Amino acid sequence: MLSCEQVTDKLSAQIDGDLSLSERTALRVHQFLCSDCKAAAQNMRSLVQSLRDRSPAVIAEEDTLHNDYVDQVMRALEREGATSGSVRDSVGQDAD
Amino acid sequence: MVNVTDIAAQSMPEEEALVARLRAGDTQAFRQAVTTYSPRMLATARRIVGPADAEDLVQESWLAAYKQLGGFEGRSQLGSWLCRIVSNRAISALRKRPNEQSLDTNLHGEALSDPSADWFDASGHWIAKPTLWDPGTPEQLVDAAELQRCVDHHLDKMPDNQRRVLMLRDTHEKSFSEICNAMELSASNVRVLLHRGRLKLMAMVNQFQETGTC
Repeated sequence: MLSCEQVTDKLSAQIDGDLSLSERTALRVHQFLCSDCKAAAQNMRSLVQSLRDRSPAVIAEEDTLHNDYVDQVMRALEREGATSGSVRDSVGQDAD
Repeated sequence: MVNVTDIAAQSMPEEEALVARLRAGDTQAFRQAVTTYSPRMLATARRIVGPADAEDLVQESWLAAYKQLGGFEGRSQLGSWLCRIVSNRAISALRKRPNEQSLDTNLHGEALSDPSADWFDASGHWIAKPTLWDPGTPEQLVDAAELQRCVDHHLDKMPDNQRRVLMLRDTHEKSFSEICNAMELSASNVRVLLHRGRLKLMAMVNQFQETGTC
């Protein structure tokens, strides 16, 4: 029978569906009999699901917008024809 | 540091109204959207392509978003949709980059150190038995603002390759072949980086659950 350490080594492969049938069966049997490994597997599954489609929760100093950035993006959008109004009219308006 | 959930949270009706105005080419709506969503798009870009290319990538993503607005069906939140555009473009950007991987600095050392090395005794049994996390939904697991910040903190501390793999696979659900191609890494290296990155975050959540500290 696999050890708990060997089962933990294969947890990601189990979640990603990368195991052969025999490996999958061996892990399931172990996790059925071992509540610790069952908990570890459930925890990793929860972690992976919780990361899915997750936006960053914290904006670091380096991700804050510098003064000109919004104007720069707005000008690029205007060049692409995204906006119907005059971007130039709105540039800098928020800073006034 | 600013908590993005505070600055970007919009109710569904507000978001629908904003999208309608964006589709109509409303300049002020674009300004509002760029101001509101760019910080988290930048955070996403920085964590995948690095700080030097993040701003350009986000600007390109806004142009792509404008062209794809017709296809936005509102099944996900606008912010998540925009971050997905960023991650798609980040994958392309990584693919075009000359291979910058250094085996010595990126693949060996910290990224490949095994976080579970001291979890087991010599016979492979648990030393400190894992406890099942609060059996809420996965969303509830990372609902707590403190835990969210802690996850970000640990992601930022990871070696670049490991953070990229973890974000591309688990956050943006890219396939292994896309990740391998973009990062010019073998499938086995990507899988090891991913597994050990997940174990690091598991250890972090364990500590958070036990002590409430990051």
